Amino acid sequence: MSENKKITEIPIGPYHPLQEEPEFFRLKIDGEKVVGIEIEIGYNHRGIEKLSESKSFDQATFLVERICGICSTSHPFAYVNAVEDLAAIRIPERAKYIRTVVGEIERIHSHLLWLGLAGHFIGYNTVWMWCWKYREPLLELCERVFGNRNHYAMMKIGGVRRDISDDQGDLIRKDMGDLVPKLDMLYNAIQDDPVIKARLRIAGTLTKKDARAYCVVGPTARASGIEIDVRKDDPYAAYGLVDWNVVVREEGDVYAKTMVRIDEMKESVKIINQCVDRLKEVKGEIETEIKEIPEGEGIGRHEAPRGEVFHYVRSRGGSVPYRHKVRAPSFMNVFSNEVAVVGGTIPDAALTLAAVDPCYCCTERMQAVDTDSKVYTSRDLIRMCQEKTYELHRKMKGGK
Amino acid sequence: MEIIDLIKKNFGSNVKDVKVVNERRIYIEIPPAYIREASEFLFNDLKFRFSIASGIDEVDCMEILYHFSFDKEGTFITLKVKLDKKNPEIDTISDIITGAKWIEREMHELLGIGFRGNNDLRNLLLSPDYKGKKYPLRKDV
Repeated sequence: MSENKKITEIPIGPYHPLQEEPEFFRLKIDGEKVVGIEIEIGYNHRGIEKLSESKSFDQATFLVERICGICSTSHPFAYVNAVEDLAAIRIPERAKYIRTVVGEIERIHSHLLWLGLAGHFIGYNTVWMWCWKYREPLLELCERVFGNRNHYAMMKIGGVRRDISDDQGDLIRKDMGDLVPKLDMLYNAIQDDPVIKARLRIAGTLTKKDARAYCVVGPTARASGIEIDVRKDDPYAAYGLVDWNVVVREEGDVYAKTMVRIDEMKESVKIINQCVDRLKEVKGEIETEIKEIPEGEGIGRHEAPRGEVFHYVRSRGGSVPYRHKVRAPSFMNVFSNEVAVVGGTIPDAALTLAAVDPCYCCTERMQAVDTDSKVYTSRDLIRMCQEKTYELHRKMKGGK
Repeated sequence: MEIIDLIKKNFGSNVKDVKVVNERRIYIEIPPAYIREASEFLFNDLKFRFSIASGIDEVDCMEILYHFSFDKEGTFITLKVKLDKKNPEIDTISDIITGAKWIEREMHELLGIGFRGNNDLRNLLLSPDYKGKKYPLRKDV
């Protein structure tokens, strides 16, 4: 209890109730309403930046691929962009298309993962099952084409490690063709269902002003009316060579974040199809040979599923980076929860905290939380969040 | 390149060095005392987005690179400041840019850089119990 006796503190974590990742939120509650939040991260910090200073430039590509298990290609993508910026390396056109295909397939399976979890959280387990069912063929596709369901190790300074054959291109195109009706169905199901819509609308609005102040990125920014996307603003790989659109919505709530992600998946399909078609025409090398990395500094960015990934590399001319700075999108997005959850209720907070699609590339450590008061477990929070949906259902449809 | 001319004109004699790698990658060195004014001009007046800051332990000094993105044109401008190695300290920009709060805490715990005016420099990634004087990202560790 603080000096204001009406304020109750409720701890959420150190495991995230929705995504089961380590982070800790201390919610401050006045009655039913959230009036403040303290965020603690660092449970997953592995010292990757320091470690990178002891790896060769090539080894660091594999190291940063281990930062994230879902969007595993995002960090190596930004890292190779940074080293290529440092050394002014130009990569073959074929490698550009291959890199883009890897990045976009990953975006689709990452967004489907989030959408499924969001469905489960609000009590729509069918949405959860559907999303993950449609995600599975994509992971199998990754295994067949890139060699692994995740951690594909496709990125390499100067190009890519493996080619995509014409047959594999046909396979990708077929899977994309199968996916489109499923995405349309999900889009319509969420848009047309008044309960889902109402449930997602009342949670976690991030205003455009706050989105700018907190410097958020990715779908979190685009759902709050900020039109930023590294793929469009600072084109790299093949993003400047194909036709696609940036998806922006103005509302800033969880519904807007959901619809931005669904629309983005459709744009990704468009990008992938064009790249696969171009790969049938653009033949040749898939990498430029690199002998050494000169002295200098470089910045690389990639629009990961969660937003801009930033890598800065400084070289002193040796075989290892002198400094390697990594900034994951969640570093900016998670902090914005400080304002997004305020004004909502506890069931809303649990959903809002997950709406930025957080990903914790931080430090591994455990910490016990001592409290005499009630501890809300993940099941409690999910139950509360689902009950609110059912209540809405009863109100809107006259019974569940 | 109009934007860089505008910045140079506004910064005036505070520009110590400019390195234009290409039209999308520009590094500008400024004196540490000018960081607040420079950040305010880029973030509030020109509507740049603050991307992140990188602290670097150099042999003779401590460097901070403040990375700003002008998304409309894809220009990435980095402000570079060099701080005294023995007592690295600089004014905070976290009251101008809320999004800089966490990275100042991170640079404080990992590199031992002080941020004048920022009264919340608790550990972000390291344990709250860690009060050691060894800073993990420094080269002597």
